[in-house]
Amino acid sequence: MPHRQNIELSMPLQAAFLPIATGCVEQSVQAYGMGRAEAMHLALAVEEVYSFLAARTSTDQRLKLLCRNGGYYAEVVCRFPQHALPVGAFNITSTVSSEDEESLAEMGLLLAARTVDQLGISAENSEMKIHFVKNKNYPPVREQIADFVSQGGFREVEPETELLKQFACRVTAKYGAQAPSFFTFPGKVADMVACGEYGAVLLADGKGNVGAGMLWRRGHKLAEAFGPYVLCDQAQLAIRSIEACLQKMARTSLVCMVVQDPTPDMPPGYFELLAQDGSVLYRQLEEDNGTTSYAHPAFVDFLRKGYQQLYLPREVHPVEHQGESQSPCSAFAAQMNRPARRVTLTAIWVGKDAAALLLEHVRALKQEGFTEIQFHLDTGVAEQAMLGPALSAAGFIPQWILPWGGRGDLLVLTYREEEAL
Amino acid sequence: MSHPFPPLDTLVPSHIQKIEPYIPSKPDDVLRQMFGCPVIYRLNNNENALGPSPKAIEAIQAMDPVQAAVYPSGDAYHLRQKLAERFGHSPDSFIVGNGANEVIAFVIKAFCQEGDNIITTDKTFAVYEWVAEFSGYEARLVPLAADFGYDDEAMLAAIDARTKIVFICNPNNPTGTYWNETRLRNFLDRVDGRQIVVVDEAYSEFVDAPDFPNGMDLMREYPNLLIFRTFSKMFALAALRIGFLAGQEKIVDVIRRTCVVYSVNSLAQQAALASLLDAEEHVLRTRRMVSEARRFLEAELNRLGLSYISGEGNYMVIRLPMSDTLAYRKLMRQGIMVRSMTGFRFPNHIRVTLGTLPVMEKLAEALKNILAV
Repeated sequence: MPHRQNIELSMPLQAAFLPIATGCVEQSVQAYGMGRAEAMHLALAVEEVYSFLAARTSTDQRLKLLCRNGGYYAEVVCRFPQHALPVGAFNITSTVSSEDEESLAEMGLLLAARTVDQLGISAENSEMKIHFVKNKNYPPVREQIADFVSQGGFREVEPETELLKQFACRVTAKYGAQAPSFFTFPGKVADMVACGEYGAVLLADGKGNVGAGMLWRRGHKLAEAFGPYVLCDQAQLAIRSIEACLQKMARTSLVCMVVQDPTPDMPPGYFELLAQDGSVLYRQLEEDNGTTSYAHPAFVDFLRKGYQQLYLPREVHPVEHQGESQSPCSAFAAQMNRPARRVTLTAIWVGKDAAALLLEHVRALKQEGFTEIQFHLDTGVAEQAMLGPALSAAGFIPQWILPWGGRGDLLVLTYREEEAL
Repeated sequence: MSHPFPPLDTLVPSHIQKIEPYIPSKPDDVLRQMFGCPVIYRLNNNENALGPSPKAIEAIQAMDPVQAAVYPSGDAYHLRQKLAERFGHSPDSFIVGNGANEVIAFVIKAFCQEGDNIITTDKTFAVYEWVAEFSGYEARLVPLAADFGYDDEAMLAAIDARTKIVFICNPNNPTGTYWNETRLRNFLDRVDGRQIVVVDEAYSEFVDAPDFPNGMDLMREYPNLLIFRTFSKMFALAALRIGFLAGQEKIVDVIRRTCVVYSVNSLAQQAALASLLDAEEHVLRTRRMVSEARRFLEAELNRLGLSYISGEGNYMVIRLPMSDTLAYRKLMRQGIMVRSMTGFRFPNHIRVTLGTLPVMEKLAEALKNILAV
């Protein structure tokens, strides 16, 4: 989506200016084509953060607001001085006590976290950023698309809107629940590609029938690919889709790609197995000449063995907490897939309360019916290595390594109730 | 007190924000440690395994260390005189650069402005595309033809009013395909002087084929033709970074306006000049080595059932039944460094430099090992 549609605002953190912030969010999000309800949710999130900060920071501090049209979502980013906000308030486990005034004040932040579809927190150069994301609503696939008999002659075509919508309908018809749920919203798939966050390869015949394709989400270094989806009985279409996909990723900032739950059409010889059950395939896009992985001693052996098996050149650097000062609060992000009852936790902030907070997360997620709880530990961030004892105590055990999945490699751990101390 | 961090999102142009820096491979001592191999055979950069020619080695050894204090000739004066004598052009027809990469940048800077484009192919030396893109110009990538050669018709069709330069790598890196003289002439005739045509002859000294065109002669007839050559490949001076371009004086005069003078050091200039003194013997010796290596490796690959693309140049491309980046790591564990080809848009292929027979034997053995696992 054009960068030109970004709306930026810088304003004093004083209560009197609050309507300017909320008004800007509300109107920008609607101007991006989203509904009033979605716009109000984002405005409410910003209102809570703004009010909280305005009440606690000196009057010369400023808040910078960025509204961004993501095509299939709207994003609002709040930037303000670091440490002005208790990040722990955003945890899904946060609770509010009516007898504690500070706790009541944080209720607004909790509300802010719950009104949006995605929340991100990061800090850089003495500044903290909170990202709120609200997804656009799309109608689902309405009717079954008719099969076609192709005479062949498939070639790679530009992934234009109508072809992408046709592709999504055909994928939904053939693969059903095996395909990611976004395929059931053809308009969303078209917007996901149009905004540039996703890439697509489509092979179509001379009559415009889409016979095969792949889709991928561009991350910082890692692309997550979906497919290959082969929609007619033609040899070689899966291989051609994979090769076209790899050619499009070449000479970009992407370093590697991963395919979770590949389709049965996946040709052999292109990927490496990460999870032994075959559910996660992986491939690097350029030569890997090594990096350092930070790990708690409890995970060092697992990592070294894993790197040996993957032929990955890594220097594993043990990291332990040795009494140095730590932030009082931790924050974890939870990415939920409710239909699959699967949730992935990541560390936003590592503080003193990590062990207790992790236990609370596990308890809360189990109560909500999640049966598969993963933790993605970024070995490129030394502070995250400190989570080793907390993760082990909470029952998380290392399963596999996703190279370059974060700032460094991700160590993927899964929760096993019987392992919890 | 710490000063505010500069606002990179507004300071950095959007075309630079989109680009990731090229990260070169780590030095051998670090790689040996990371991959746990006692020795590394570099077959990734198409270097000449025989090293520089005897005259060039003499020149390098004769360099007076005290001269390191003195600036080099700013425009490689003596080397240009020698090139002029060798190729029968005036010294002002040559610009010497810090490797051929630098002269690519000179040419793009000299001819392109906002909104212009250059044309190259999708599976070739990446630097034309990179320099154009980080300079803010469009790089139009015309797919190679089915025979892995440059597709002249498609390239001509891609030219428009904003096309300034067409880059042709002849022979092509990595496929080893080439345009013969008739085909190159035909292409130049049809361009008809409207665009600059760069023929990159980095690997021309390796070519045995009798119909390979002599770009240095053709540029007399075609004023829009520029020829790139390097001392990094056949002449084995890659560490010194020296290459050059040649063209008609009027065109070269325009390019000279964008040149960074003093970018080529004295040692490189002296070694390059000396390497021209015994070039003929060195070229013959190297071609013999490459030819032996190619014969040996083709036979081994046939035995292993691996397909390959083998044309001109001191390299071959091999198709593997696995990810080329995984093959890279597995081969590195055995001390063999190859170029993985996903970055060249050839997934599951590797490019290997053709070198001495003992090293080719090690490569064949290492390939056998990775296929067995």
